Amino acid sequence: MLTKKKLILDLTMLGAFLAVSKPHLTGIAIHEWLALSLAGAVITHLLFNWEWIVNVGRTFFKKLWHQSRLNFVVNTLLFIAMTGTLFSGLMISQSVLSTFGIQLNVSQGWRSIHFMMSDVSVILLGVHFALHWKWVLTNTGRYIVNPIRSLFQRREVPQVMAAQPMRMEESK
Amino acid sequence: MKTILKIILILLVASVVAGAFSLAVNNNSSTVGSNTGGQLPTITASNGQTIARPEGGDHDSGSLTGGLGGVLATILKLTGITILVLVLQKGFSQLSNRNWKLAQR
Repeated sequence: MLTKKKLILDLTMLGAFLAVSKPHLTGIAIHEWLALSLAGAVITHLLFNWEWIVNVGRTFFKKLWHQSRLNFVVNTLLFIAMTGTLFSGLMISQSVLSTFGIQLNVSQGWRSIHFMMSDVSVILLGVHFALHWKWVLTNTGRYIVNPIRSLFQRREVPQVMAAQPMRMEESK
Repeated sequence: MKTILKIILILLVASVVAGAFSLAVNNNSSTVGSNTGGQLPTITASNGQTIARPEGGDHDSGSLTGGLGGVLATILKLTGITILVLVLQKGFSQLSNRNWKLAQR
């Protein structure tokens, strides 16, 4: 059940990330608020995978090489890049901060950091996605493709049931 | 560990990262000097006239056609990176399998 929740959260996050990555699509206000809610989703994602983070974090320097280590490094870099994108986005915010009555007079460097970190986030998200490809494929099949397929198969069942008595009558 | 503590820990790490970014930006803008106070550096033409700098990042209202094109481009980038990493992983695993078989012979 937790895997299903994780999958739903991850797919929602992917959708939100795609929408957030292009402010042209949503407009600046939705871009900012959606990014803020994406940060909440990231925290939930980290809470769902807390045990993995703690376990790999503990063995990180013990074993010389393992797949989880690469995952850990990519995930850490992705966390840094996403935090950088969100924080720099808040610093140049036009909608979120003004809602709270905050007006910042900040350096223009934040804007370039925001664009750079968002590009880095896209790259690292691609790597993160690829490293979890098997998990995504297996669970998408199990929780999304198979249930949809079984819905269509159930519709075919009554026709088969209806055909059986006719055969019985023929055999008599 | 309680969930609240975990959230506080995540936010703490995030604030450390944000602090590092803040330090980097402040150091950078103090070395540049002319770029503080939210003002863009001015562009001056050869005749001494100041040219207005075009704004590049403000989109107050969304545009579905332009935005969907951008989203499609991001999906393509993600797909490309995913395929590249999967191919690299496959290559590395085949290489290590080959080395292992050679070592066994």
